[in-house]
Amino acid sequence: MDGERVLSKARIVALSTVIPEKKLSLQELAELYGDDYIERITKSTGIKEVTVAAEDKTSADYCYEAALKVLKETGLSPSDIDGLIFLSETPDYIIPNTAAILQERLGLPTNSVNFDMRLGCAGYVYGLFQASMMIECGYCKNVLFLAGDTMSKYTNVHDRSLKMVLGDAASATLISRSDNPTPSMYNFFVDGSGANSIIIPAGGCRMPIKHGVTDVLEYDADGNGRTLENVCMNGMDVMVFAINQAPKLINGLLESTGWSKDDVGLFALHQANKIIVDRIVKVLKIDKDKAPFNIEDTGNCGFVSIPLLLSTYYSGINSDLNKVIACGFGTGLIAAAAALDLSQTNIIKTFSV
Amino acid sequence: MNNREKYNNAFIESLDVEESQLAGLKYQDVPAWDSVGHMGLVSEIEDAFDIQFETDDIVDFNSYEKGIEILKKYSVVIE
Repeated sequence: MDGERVLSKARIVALSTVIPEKKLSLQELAELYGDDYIERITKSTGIKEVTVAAEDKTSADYCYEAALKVLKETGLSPSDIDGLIFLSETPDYIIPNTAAILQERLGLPTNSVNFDMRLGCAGYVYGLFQASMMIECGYCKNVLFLAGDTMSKYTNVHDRSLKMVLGDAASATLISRSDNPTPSMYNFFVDGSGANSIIIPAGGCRMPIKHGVTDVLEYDADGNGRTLENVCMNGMDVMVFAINQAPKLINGLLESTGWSKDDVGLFALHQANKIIVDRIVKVLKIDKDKAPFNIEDTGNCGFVSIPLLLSTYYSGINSDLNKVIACGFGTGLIAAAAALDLSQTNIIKTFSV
Repeated sequence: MNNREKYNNAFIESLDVEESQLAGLKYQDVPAWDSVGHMGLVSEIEDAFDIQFETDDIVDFNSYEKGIEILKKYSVVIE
């Protein structure tokens, strides 16, 4: 991999993922949604249960646990970290940024670079890009990239289209400057005309929370109920976006890197649901075994689904992961793909708290 | 099984509808024909006729009759 768009100084040293102990079996929703519906969705999406964050725990809490695990496994001290990125659509507060809270909690240096990122399912690739850029420019040596979402807190129980699909999870990834770096390349796509395709309409400045207005339960044509304070998704828009753009980004990246499909050891696709993963595999005409699916017992955990896939199937050091394509797509509508070398990455097995 | 039977069968299997409901059936007319059901239906038809739909055709395929029209592009004639 060479050329002017290659980031060549960073190495993805380690990554860790954490899921909540609590899970919701889709069967538990049978009384509400009906057995037939549950059976159909389970068959189509491949999801049997979804992870649910504890009421008193936030994305930041789960990221904190994942960060401790990475620090422990790599032997780094908090004082070694000079950059912290917190990626979440479910931060602790509107103000202040959650990364600052995590800086204090983890005991990171006060002169470290520290900020939040807010992106949906393409976010993990964006975070790797941002962290690698911080290394590339020479400003940071060790960047801790924390990514977590607890979308269950914004999902209405009457919205069967999302309640049966979305799960909660978090990850921590350490990206460091290295004499033995693992170069990476990226490819991006954004189409803001699809901003309403996945949206929580109320709660920002555009539509402030208003009792009796934004918290009123309403049902759409599909029979899904939600308020304006809940997450809302147009499934068809997102599906079409994913099956259109993900293959294009991946093919573009293959061209840029000069890798053939056979060269690639793993296509780590965002685990939206089985239908989308299967369709992307079909369009790309790649070996199904190289694009695994693993969210039967977690649900779609947003951008965490990519590291979650890695820590489910590839824990340890995998020398054959020297050519990996990761691709996320969703909210925005935004898609992003990365060509990565994970052959030296310590991938830590998923744990629950 | 002729092409009409294969086509109808894909709807019946993936959307859990009766044959008598098929004429005039449109996307979202029945609860099972939502975005998830649509992709299941598309896969069933692809498997039945050994074809692969272009993404634009997946989007345009919004009714029982429209599907028949689209299939002509793939040299599948439903009589």
